[in-house]
This record gives sequence, structure tokens and C-alpha cells, in this order.
Amino acid sequence: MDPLEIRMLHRRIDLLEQIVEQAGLADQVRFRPNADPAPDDPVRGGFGPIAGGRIRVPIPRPGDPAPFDLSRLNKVQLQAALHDLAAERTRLESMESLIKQQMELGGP
Amino acid sequence: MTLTVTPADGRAVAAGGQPVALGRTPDIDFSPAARRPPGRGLRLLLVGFQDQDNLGVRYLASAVRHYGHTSDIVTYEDDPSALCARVAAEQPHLVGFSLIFQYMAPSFGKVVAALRAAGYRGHITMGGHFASFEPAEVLDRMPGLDSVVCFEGEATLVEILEHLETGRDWRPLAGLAWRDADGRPVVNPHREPIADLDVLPLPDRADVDYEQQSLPTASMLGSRGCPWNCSFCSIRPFYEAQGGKLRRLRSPAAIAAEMADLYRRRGVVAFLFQDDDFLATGRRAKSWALDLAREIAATDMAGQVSMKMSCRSDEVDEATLRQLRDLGGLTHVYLGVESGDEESLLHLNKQLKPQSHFKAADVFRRLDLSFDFGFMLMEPYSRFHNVRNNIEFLEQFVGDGWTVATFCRTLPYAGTPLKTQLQAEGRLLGTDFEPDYNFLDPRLDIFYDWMLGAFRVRNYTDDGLCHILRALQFELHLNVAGRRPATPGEKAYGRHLTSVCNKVACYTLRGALDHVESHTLGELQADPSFLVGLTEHEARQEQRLTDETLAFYRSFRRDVGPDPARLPGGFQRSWTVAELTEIAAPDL
Repeated sequence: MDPLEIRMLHRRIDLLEQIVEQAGLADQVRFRPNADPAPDDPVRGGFGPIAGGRIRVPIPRPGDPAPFDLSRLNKVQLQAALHDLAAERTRLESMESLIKQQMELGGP
Repeated sequence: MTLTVTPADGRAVAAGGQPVALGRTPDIDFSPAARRPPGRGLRLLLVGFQDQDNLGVRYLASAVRHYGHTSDIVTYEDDPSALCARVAAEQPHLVGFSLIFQYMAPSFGKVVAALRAAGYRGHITMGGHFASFEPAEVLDRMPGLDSVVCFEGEATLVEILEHLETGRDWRPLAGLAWRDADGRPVVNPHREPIADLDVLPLPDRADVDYEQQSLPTASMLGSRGCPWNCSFCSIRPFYEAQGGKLRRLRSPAAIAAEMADLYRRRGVVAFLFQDDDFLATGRRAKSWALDLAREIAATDMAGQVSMKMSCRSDEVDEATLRQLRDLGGLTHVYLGVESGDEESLLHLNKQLKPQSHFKAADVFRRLDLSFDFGFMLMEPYSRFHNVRNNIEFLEQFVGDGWTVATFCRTLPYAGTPLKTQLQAEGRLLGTDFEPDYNFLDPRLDIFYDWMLGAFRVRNYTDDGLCHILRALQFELHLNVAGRRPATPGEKAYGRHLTSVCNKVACYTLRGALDHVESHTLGELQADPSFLVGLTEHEARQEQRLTDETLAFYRSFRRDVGPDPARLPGGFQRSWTVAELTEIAAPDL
């Protein structure tokens, strides 16, 4: 392997360790070299200025992210996901109704 | 005349097989003139589960004190060591057990046996609903007992003590069951109930810690009995067995005087009426309730105290409840809903339709009263469509979160018409202490077993969302001295949390019911993974909601003023937990 590539990999690993330490996630995050990388989350500003725009460093989060490939899930897992979605929908609708009621009442 | 009973069913029959004749009118005089100086009689310990103040035990304690006997109340514990030590030290002449919950009978039996094993030789007796209906079974299963006090116990207990004190034979006393020389249970004629409840001494509350409660809350009893004939309930059979009126009322003035005394001397501001049915029935009951409200309004309690009552949905009349709220401080109602399915309501002989429930709930909303309700999602004759209707009913009834949806199934308790019916049909299973049955479709047994596990914490424990949200709703609607009323925003947020809790539960229930109905028994038994997944889903949602609810509850309580270091009081004292291991209240 090109020595430059090796140095870049070293630097990437150092940065990752530093981020994990700073976030206090060292005990929670396990790196699995053979696993797919987690999808980046642009909403959370996943790339940031850390690597100067050249090396993309995802912000590590505890646990595995939800896989996008739904064919990996069995029927029970899919059903469970639907249950959670239904509960979330219930929660959001209730909160929306609460906020609308408050807006109708007026206030500061 | 003593009578033998058939141990199989505990019914009292004369030796010749004739039915029991009712006993004589009690000759116990509870008037002030009959009062004996304290400390000159016998000593007794009354042991009971201290739930909702256990007014039954407190009325008994006052009755025997009226006759000069010394009585202490002891909280029932599964571990008998503390009771044994106290009995050994004090050597009371009589130990009386108050058995409220049928399922606790085996546990009470162990404590009785432990007392005897520890060498106690005094009289041991037991009373309560189950013991009254099944005295022969109780005597058979608890050899350490000397007697069972059947039905209303004040006069009978006083008479036992009088006879023990004077060395007379107590066995012929009306209202008692006992064992003959051959060990066979004998049930004497029942004692007629006390006709005028106002003659009874007020319940002894000396050891209740009202002053230490953040919301000093007392249970009250304004009446005894209920004339309705619901098939799952033993209240009417209990009072019917004694003869006399099916519902007796105390005078409103006497009730208000007891409340005022608790308010002024003990600082009680919340009164939970434990009457079987506060508004049963008709104009007479409404007039009585309104008289009580006027009595309260005429004292310094006006606008300073809150009260809770229980009733049926077809007794909810807006004009009456408005006056009870404005004059008497009514803020909370316990509604006997039982079912939202028309067929199940027929099976339960409830004699009303689901529309009554909706109308009643609309009245509560208009009057801004909190309420909670009893609900049996399943009963012995339930089919899939009945359960489905009930789930739909719950969503419509309380989907807005006005109160939390709780649910269980009907149990055939002792003395109920339902137990007799299931017995006649050959469907009664389980033990005398824990009666049981199977549903008509065995897949509903699988659904019920799943439901019991999936909603165990939510529905049946003090840590569960049902209890926490009911207590929260109760407090959000309180209007008592020394507490800021909840703001509309706080009430709305409480409803939001409750609404999510209810809808998630209904979704989970429906998902399980659909799954169970669309599979064969064999498939369901072979692969439980779907139901397991639903349980996990419900648990995740409940945990999140519990965290949110407790955070809001703590913040609300800090804000409204009561000292958080004090004992809970309030709604905590009005609810019965199903398991002794679960009585630890959430840390609010």
C-alpha cells in the first residue's frame, strides 16, 4: 500500500479515537472493521470541519443504525417497525392537536 | 339453633335440609348511653390489609371500644414474625383478621397457622366478603381459626367479646360460623344488619398518618349496599343474605360532621367516598347526595375540600353533578363501566347500553371532572367480536386522554351470580380461593394470557402507567385549600400523555387480537414470536411514557405546593394493587 495512504489511514484512526474519547462514548462504540460504514447523517452535521473536507469522518453513534435494506428483516421485525411507527404517529398527532388547541386559545 | 352447612358450597342449611331462617335483630346498643369506660374490657388486635384506610376494620375497632374493650389495628403482612412477636408480648384475648381479597386467603391462612405454632391460645376470628360467603371453606382450610364472623361484623364481634369476657359460650351467636366437636363447620343464622348506620361509632382513625401526607386524604362511607344485580358483583348478595334494606344511608348531617372533624382536627382536604354506589338509585339517592353537598357548603369546608364518589353511568345527571361539584367539592368520579360491548353488558346483567357510558363521560368533560373507570375487556362469554368492540369502545371513550384506559377480565368471585352460573355450566375451574374459567374459544385463552403478561406492569402495579396517570389526572382536577389549581395547559399536557398511553395500548391489543383470530390454535402455540414482539413494543412505549409522565408529575407537584418529602396521600390511597410485591409507590 502507498505510504501516503497508510499515513492517511493512521490519521483517520487517530481522529476517530479522539472523537470517541471526547464524546465519552469509548465504552459504547465498538469498531467493526468488517462491517459496513454507518450512513452519514447530514442533519447532524456528520462531516464537520474535522478532516478539512478531505477525509469524511462520520460522527459515531452508539449502536448500529437501522439498515436500509428491508429485505434483511424478517416479518416479525417488519411488523415491530410498523408498531413503532404507529406509536410515533399517535404521539405526533396528539402533540399536534395539543399545539393547535393552544394556538386557538391564544396567549403571549 | 345451630345449623350445619354443606362444605362443598358453604351454604347454610338446617340439619333437616331446610333453608336458613334469618337471625334476630341485634340487641347491641351503640348509643352514647351504652358506652362503657375504656380499658375495662378485653384486649384485641385487628389485622387487615391497610388499603383505602380499611374502614371495615376501623368501624369494628370503634364498635368494640364503645363497649370498653381495647383494640389496636395492625397492618397485615405476609411475614407473620412481627405479628407473632406482638401477640406473644401483649397476649390479646382475641385476634381478628379482615380478609378483603379472596386471593389472599391462603396467605392469611399461613399467618393464622404461624400464630398457633407460636403458642397463641386466644380466640382467632376472621371476617370479610369471602369469609362470609364461604365460611365452611375458610374453617376447613384454616384450622387455627375459632370462628368466622359472617357479613356485617360490628354487633357480632361485640357479642363475642362480651361472651368471652363473662365466660359464656359464644358458639350460639347469630352471624357466626364455627367448628363442632367433630371438626365439622357449623354456620349459625345470619344476624340482621344494623338498620340505622348513624348509631355506629365513627371509624377509629387515630393511627392514620393524615398529618404527614402531602395531600391529607381520608376514605369515607356514606352508605352501605347497592340494589343493582350485576352478575359479576357480590355486593348485593352480601347485603341480601342478611335481610333488611339493600342500601342504607347515613344522614347527610352526620357525614358532613365527620368530614368537618377530619378537616379541622387532622387537616384532611380530600375525601374519597368508598360507597358501593353513591347515587343508587333514583330521586331519593340524588336528594340525599345533594343534601350532603349542602351540608358541606354550609361549613368552613366550602370551597376548601375535594371529594370523589363512585356510581353507574346511567346515574350521571348533569344538574346533580354540577351541584355536587359546586357545593360539595366533587372533583372525581369512579364509574362502573365494566364493558363497552352491548352483548357483554347483557352477560354481566348491567342493564344499560354503551351509550350511557358516552353520555356520562360527556358530562364529566363539560363539568371538568376527572374520572376513572372499571373495565372488563373480557368476560366468560366473550367472543372475538365482543373483545374487538371493547377495544374500539375504549378508543372512542377515552382516546382523547381524559382518563386512562385500564382493563382486565371478569372473575367469578365468591357469592356472585356469575360463579353460580359457571358452576352450573360445569365451567368453573381453579380453587375456591382463586376461581377461574376458560373462554369459549381456546384462542381467547391465549390472547388473555398474553394480555396479562404484556400489560401486567401497566395495568396492575403501582409502578404502572395506569396508576400513575390516574393519580395525575386526579391531582390535575383537585381544588383544595393550600394547592394551586392546575392550569389549562397542564391539564392539556396530562391529557396528551394519557391519550398516547391509551391509543398505544389499543393498537397493541388490536394487533394481538387480529393475529390470534387469524391463526389456528396450533400455529399460535408453535410460534409465539409475533406476540412476544408486541409485548416488547408495548414495554418500550410504556417506558418512554412513564419517564415523560413522572417528569411532568414531579414538576407539577413541586409547583403546586405540597411538601415532596411528605407521604403521598391522595389517589395513592384509593387504589388496590394486585400483588403484595408491587406495593412500592413510584418515587414522586
